[in-house]
Amino acid sequence: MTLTSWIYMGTVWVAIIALNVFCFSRIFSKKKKTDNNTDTEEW
Amino acid sequence: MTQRRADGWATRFGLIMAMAGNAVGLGNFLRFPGRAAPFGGAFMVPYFLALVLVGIPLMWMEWTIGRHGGGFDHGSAPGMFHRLWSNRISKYLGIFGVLLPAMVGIYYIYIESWSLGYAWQTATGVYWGQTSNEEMGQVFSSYLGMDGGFFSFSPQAYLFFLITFAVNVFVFSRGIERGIEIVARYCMPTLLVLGAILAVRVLTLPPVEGRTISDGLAQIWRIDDWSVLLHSDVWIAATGQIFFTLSVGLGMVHTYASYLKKKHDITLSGLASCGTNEFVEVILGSTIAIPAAVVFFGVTQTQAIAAEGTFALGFFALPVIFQQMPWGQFFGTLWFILLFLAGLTSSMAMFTPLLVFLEDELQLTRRQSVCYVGIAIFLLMHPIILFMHHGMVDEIDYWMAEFGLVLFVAIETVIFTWVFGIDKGWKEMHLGAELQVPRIFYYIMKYVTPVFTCGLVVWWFYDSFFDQVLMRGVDPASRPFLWVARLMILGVALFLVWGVWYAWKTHPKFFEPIEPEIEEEAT
Repeated sequence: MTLTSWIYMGTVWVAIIALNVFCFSRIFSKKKKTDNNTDTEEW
Repeated sequence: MTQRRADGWATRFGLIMAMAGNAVGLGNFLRFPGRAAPFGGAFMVPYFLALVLVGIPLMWMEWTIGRHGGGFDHGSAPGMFHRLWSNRISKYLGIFGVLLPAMVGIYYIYIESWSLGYAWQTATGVYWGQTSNEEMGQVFSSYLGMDGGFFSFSPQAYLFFLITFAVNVFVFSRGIERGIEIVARYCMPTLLVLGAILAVRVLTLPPVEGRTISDGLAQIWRIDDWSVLLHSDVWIAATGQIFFTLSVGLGMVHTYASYLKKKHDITLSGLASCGTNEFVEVILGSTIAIPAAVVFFGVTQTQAIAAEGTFALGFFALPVIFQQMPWGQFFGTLWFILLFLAGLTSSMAMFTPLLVFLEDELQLTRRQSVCYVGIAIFLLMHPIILFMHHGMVDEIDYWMAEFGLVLFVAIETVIFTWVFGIDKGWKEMHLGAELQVPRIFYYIMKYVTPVFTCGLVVWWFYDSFFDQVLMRGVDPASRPFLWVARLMILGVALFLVWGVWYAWKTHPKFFEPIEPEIEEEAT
């Protein structure tokens, strides 16, 4: 692996992990808010 | 109210795990590295372009089509297409969304059962001592009973097939909430943990004869020759992999999404399931098979193994590697359990559109539809198992998972964006949305995705359609068996054509149109 390849791989990995963190953090923060409400549906 | 409407997703996490599980399959760990390795790092360029320009837009479209159709009490593509385009032909075009997953599922379950069988063989050390690819190839042929006889049959493979078949029928017979969702909620996190353990194990492998894990990763990530991108092969391979890995164009996403209400978000949930699939494929899938093979066999031999096909990598090469690795029996067993779970989370979705079609449109009960589908697929699987050595799996795979998939994708894209209208589609997609999709995707979905998918159909006709139809290069002894495979596809297709015709003649909902759940319900 060249330095460029490591950077290429690292960038892609970080992008994918960031996408997952972004999506699931929003989903779980929404769920937490919903759970705190009186209406405790799972969505 | 039909039984389907009484069923549904209990939790959003369960839905996302089931959607991700539907996408995560054997292809993430075997097909992806096999496709990427021959092109080096250049493969990832068209791969990500196809993901953004075609894969993610298609995924959002299918979630939208599914939820929209579900609002009219349709859980399968014929009814959904009928509600998008009130033309008599539209519901018949939707048949692809039931036919394709069911026919793929017929051979997929058998392949899935090999993973379970190999997990057992690895745990008990049955093939230990067979330390070359050739020897493992013989073990594989022997496991499948392909010893030159008229039938390809072995009691052991058949036993594991029966177990796998029973597990699948049990799961989908329990429906969405009590079957598929429960399995997805437990299997997907387990699969992620197993994948992470194996990835760490491979990344920490010591050098073998001077070859390091860095050399292995280079096979996927180093771009030596940018001119590879000037050839159509890499673009077609990357786009095909995107379709396959996201499980778009198969009708399963539609059915899962049909259980959602208008107030339920689909943009963020869809993106989350897509992100999970990409994590498994690009980060875990690219880290295990090819890098390990390069460390133990070298680049040249690894490319030769990858060229032999998906199964050579997973069932020949990796078992050889596990035998040379400390704790190899343990990690080998984990590998095949991982493949089995990946297969299960996909296969349990494949018959759901057919089951739901029988329940929603032909008004059968859950018990009846499970019974009929179970018996039918059990019978249809046997020619595939017994005459596997004549290439029946490849024949069905071509027509269903390659050509049929691309054709269905083109049809649904055109209907959604140009017939139903992207403006209505965009609005429908954002009902209840927790993520505003960037406006650029409006134009991508309107112009790029349909043109790209229609172009792909044309290319497919030009490239391989006539060779495949005329069976060029096929052993004459195998031709009758390939005709049997085609007749099986035709038989199921004709049944579905009759089913659609009958449903639209008899089902009361087509005479007294049901209003979809009102948009005000969306928050």
